Amino acid sequence: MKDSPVNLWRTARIALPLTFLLIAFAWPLFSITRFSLGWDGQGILSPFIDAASDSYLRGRFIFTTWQAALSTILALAFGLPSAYVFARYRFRGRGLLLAAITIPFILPPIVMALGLLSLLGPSGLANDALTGLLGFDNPPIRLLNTFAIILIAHVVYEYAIVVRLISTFWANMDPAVQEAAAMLGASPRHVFFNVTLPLLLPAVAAAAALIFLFTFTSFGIILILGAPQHATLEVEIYTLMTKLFRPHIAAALALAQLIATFGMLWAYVKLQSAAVTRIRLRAQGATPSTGRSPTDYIMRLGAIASVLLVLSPPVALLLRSFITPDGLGLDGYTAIMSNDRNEYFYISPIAAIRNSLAFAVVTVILAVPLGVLAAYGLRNPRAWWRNPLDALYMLPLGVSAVTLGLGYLLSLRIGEFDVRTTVVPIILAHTLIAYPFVIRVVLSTMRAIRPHLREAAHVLGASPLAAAMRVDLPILSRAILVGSVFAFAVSLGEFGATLLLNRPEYTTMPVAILNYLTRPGAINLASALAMSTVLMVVAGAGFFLIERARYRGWGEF
Amino acid sequence: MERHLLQITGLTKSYDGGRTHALSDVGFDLHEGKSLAVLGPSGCGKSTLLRLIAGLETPDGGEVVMNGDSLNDVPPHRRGFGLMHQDLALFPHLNVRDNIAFGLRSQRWESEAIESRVNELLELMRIEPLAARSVDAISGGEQQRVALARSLAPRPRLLMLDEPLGALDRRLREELAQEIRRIRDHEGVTLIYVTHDHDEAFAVADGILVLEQGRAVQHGPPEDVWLNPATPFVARFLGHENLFRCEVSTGPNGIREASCALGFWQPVAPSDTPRCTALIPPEAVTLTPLNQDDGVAATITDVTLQGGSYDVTLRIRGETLRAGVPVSAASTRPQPNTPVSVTIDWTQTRLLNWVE
Repeated sequence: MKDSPVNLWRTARIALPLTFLLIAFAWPLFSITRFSLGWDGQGILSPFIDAASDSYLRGRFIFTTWQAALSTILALAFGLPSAYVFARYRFRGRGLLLAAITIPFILPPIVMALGLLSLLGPSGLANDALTGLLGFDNPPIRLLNTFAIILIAHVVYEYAIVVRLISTFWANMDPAVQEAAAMLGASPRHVFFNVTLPLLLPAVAAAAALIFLFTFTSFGIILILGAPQHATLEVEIYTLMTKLFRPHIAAALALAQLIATFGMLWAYVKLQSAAVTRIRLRAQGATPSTGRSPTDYIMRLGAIASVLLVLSPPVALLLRSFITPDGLGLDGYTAIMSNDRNEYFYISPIAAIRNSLAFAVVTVILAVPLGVLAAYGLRNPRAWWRNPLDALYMLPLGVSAVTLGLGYLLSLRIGEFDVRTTVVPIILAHTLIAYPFVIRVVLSTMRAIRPHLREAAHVLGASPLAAAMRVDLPILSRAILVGSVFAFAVSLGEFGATLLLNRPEYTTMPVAILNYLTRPGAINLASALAMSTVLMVVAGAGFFLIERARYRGWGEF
Repeated sequence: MERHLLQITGLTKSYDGGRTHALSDVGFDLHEGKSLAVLGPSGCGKSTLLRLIAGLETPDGGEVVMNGDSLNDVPPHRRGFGLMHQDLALFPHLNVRDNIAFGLRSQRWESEAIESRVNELLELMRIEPLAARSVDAISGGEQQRVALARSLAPRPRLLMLDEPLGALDRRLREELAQEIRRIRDHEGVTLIYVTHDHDEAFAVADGILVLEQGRAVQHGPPEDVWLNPATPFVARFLGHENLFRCEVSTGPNGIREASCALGFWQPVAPSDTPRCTALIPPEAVTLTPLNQDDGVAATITDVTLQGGSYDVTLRIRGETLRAGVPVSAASTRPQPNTPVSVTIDWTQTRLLNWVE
């Protein structure tokens, strides 16, 4: 049985992903560490000491933590009632609403920022409506560049995590424990506070850890909606590297942030598995309620209103992109489809779209085989190295995009051989961010393939290769499709790393959007809105494909 | 002359680095066209035995020999065996027809040949209307038939069934056991049938191998295993409950006789053992009203009706004895706490060469 192709395959499915991680992950991280600790001749720890003794930078760290904590609390407070409703009620349109919730979450942050701009910005729909209807002279809503709009953006963005993560646990919780408590004489209230809530707590904590991780490294939203005093570490690293050219201090901040994000990722993984083991999950465990009391109606209406609220920014973006100073029109779309301005530094929109699509296709081509290969390496649940390896593969999720970009700028060079000015670092970044998703999607389906299926194929005369082609591949094909769409969408929306690594000739759609926004004039805003809408529609279409596949019972959050 | 199709010698397998012994030194021969039932409780190593024969696992020791050739280095897909998994392992992405055709495609049959063989099996298993259905959309019994058809389709040299009727209800099990016999005879296939149910084993096989904690404790024809269980474990596993320890002694007239605690004795064939065990079938026990003849006095403690007989539990000289009284033979239902007189038909009783 141990002929060489089998051995080659066994080696490749571990060696190839590890090699990729070594180049695209370990190397940049090592370079960040080297720079931040001053191993390149700066004096041991001097960048760290410089950063820590700078009261402005200390303030950035405190602000970053504070805004993430506040965003997490607000998102939980806003999302938990909806999680309850989606877990415990069955009502018409529930499935559709659950699917719709995820739309903001899968949109690139820059699109969400533009959505809020379209809704609440100075020339947003809300202000337009208020000035038009109520006759205000100036736009009454002045949220742009405030702390409030950042928090709103984060809450809208992370609402999906709260609802989907927690309601799934809630709905699938084995009702036997609650029934047992009720049989022991506990009132519904008592059952909730003494049984349900303690069981649910790990899931709530897991959601909190994930939201904190995401908002701690918030970049696009802060850059577009916030003011300079709202700079997070992520924004500060970007500024230090691209505007102030202080790579050592940037690296020191990046390392501090890395330690924090890895900690949160670790907490999330621990809490998530605690949630799974503590709650005996049963598909459709709890009996759904179709209650008709006034409270029931208020709960359901509240959840529906919440969903509509989080959906309003993308809808506003879509509407706003068709509004011109002279009424409805396609100014923005015409602008991004033409190429006739001869501005200096002008980025051709068509080129940006083309670049984005090219990067996305390359990302799929690299991330999907890599992810499938890595998933095969993780298939055996009994191997001692399985869990450490799985954790290692997920580690890139704990690295912020700007940190990654910084890492590439500080590495990817051996003597004369320097790829930092080519497309290579952008492709590496997109692939690194996308392939953990591919692993998760493929692995969860792969685990659903019972080993007996493969054995049955062997006994029926199929060689290991034939069994892989005739049993695994057809079953995995849907997961591979989902993984591909994910990789495509991740690449299209990637902003932080691409911005840091950007060169004019490689400009992607998100970078171009930022570029338009930083220029004056209605036509530039219109172009930004139009391009964001295109990005949103492409990402939304991909998401629609994923949801359709998910409804067949595959995939995990 | 019958040929040995399969010779198993000294198969040994342990897991967890030698801590768990799944199978220890198991060996047997199987003639072509014969059926062997591997019988034992769960965890006795039955499935491991099948997996070793199928080549899905590598033995720590021992050999699987087919027609004189060792199969130890032959991968499962080149052994030409059929295996029906306990959980069926139907391919969820293929319909009924394509599941059955899977092995034929592996063997690169012509498409017309595949078509006709699949049709033949659909007909044999009486599942023609299901051909285009998804395997998730048919009943448990139907899935069982599809799995059986799939393992039969490539005409395996040896067909192995792992608890094939496990999850089915009683009526369906009896029906399918009959079906398996019919198909075995129709296809003339050599069969290894793993089960924990002795009725099922006796129904299907012409040879029985009993496994206890990874060891083969008895191998023989069903009748022999039933009448002469080789160990207390086998006796209990087959459901024998009337097992009584006997002392063997030489009586005053020079005849060696065995006497048990129930107060009965019987002459025994010459043997060296000073002790043996009497196996008394419940139907060998006759109950009569007390003092009617020279039986031994006993008290009825419990009565249940099972399969057309009263299963009567008796207390007799401090021991528990079970008697089977056909409903047709009893004028009224025996009542608990009734004293009765017990006689035993010694011609039906077996003396076994071991004691517990």
